[in-house]
Amino acid sequence: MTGIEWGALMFGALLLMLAVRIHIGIAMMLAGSIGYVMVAGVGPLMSYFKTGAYARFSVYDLSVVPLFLLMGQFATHGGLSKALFQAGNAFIGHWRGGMAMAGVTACAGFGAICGSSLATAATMGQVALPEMKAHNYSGRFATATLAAGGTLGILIPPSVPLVIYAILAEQNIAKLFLAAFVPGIIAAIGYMGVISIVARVSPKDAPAGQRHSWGERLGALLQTWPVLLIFLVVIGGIYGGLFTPTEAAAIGCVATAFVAFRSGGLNKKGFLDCMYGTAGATGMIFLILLGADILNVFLALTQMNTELAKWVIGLQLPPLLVIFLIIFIYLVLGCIMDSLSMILLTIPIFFPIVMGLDIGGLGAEHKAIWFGIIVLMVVEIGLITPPVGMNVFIISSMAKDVPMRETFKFVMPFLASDLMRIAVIVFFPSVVLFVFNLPWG
Amino acid sequence: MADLLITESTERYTGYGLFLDRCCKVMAVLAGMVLTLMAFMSLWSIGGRAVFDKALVGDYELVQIMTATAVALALPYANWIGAHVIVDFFTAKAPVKANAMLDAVAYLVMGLFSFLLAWRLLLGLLDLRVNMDASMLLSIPTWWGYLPLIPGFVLLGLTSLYKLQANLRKVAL
Repeated sequence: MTGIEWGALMFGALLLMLAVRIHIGIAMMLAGSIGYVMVAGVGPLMSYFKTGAYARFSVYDLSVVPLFLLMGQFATHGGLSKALFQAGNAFIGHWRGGMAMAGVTACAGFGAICGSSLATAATMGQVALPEMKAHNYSGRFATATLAAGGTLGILIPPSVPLVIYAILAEQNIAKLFLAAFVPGIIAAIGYMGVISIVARVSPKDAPAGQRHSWGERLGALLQTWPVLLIFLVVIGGIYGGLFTPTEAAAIGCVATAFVAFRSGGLNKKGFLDCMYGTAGATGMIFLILLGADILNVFLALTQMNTELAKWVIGLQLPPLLVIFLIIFIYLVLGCIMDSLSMILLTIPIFFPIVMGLDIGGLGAEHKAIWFGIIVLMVVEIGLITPPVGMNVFIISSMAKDVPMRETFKFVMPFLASDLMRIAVIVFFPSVVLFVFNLPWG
Repeated sequence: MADLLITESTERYTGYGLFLDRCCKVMAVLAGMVLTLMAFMSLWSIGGRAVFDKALVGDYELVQIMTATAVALALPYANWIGAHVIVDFFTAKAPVKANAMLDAVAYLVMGLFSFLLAWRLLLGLLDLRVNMDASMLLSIPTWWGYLPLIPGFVLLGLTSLYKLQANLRKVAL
């Protein structure tokens, strides 16, 4: 058998292993190892194992991942989510559906200091669900809003999946973060539009709240200054080239730890929570990274990726059709897989294909950034689609009186707004890329 | 996903299980503390660079070693709380016993890989010690970085075997 045939065979075996509940990281490791042995022999694999794990775990660029996780943990213990929600509510709570919109803006704000969606959804759920219930919002609309709003956690930088994409595609993290910012804001505005429509169609689900005075508004806004400051220092510092992403995340960690400490959230239990949460997520992510590393070493050996890319490009399909096919594959995969595994599994295959396409004459770097943002948005959809919408799961676990089916039903309009946004960005890459053409960009 | 639904091990264990529970938790807290320390160290380095125009020498090397250490210490805990990701879409409706059987196989494979990696990394460590391989600026021996990986993977293996046994017990019930 040729290398390519082994590559295809082991990829099939991998999918089969995933279906029968082998852990994703381990399945990648096993498929990669068997393939490696078949193509190169046992000796090379055994010597790879001597150094592979350390080499993978000690990549400098990856060190930003556990730091962002730690930062997110501290942020959730700092009471910042409450401040954000109250500020949003003070300004727009009196609109129809205003409290739900405040939830979305608060999610966006929290997403600016937290790189994970589930943490964003969870922390906002704790703050906003009781408030929305007290103001006669229907349970299903409240849960759906916060599940969807939580996805802003990874859309708005910092974003862990985007870091992984940057490393796989060998792109500049700072530029990807900058590019993700505007689509993240558009997403938040889209969600608010959805809320506004739902509130008009079905006012009993999303009533208007009370109006706040300007004094209350400014007071509430002032409470959110740590979020703004941390965001500016972390993201501004990365983009301005003042520090590496790792250093920026380190600053973010120390700052959020300080906020959490001051608010009393870092007592012994809070501190242990942060440590456990960080360790659990770090271990989970790096096991997949290790497995993907072995798999990709093997696939590179077989040259399956480059051959596949050549073949697809040779078909001369319209480039946008290829992009939409890829998006479709992600949407299907997103129903059964988590976002990070999806990115690690598919980017080595899809990325060379996309780079070979002519997308309205985009340069290589801009094309890579544009595709990264699309991937980020598409995999994020998997968090709110059945059957395994993790964001919906976590919000539902907090609102036991709302059937999950109802939440999924009310998530649909938000999903429609997601799909529309993705279509806009596919057709108009400049929505993402214009930031690089600004005079100071 | 960068996320977990469950982050804390709250189950009550006895005997061997309690021992593993303690080990995983201690290592998880250490992992988090290594990262916290790393954050403060980076801050110190940035501060030094900004104020005295003198960064911490070898901060890159330290970050690399500390990240690898934190990851190694975190792996068993992630397994212990069942954080390592599986696809349960195709087996969601299967009988509990069938899933327990499949999970037993999955943990067997994970256990085997963990011990294989621990063994190979130990050999790698010994190679590096003989070669006196060291980092560029601080001359930290590279094998030091390997040290935490070995208990990390051994404990990952032991927790896998524990879970293998627990699932087999479920099948036998």
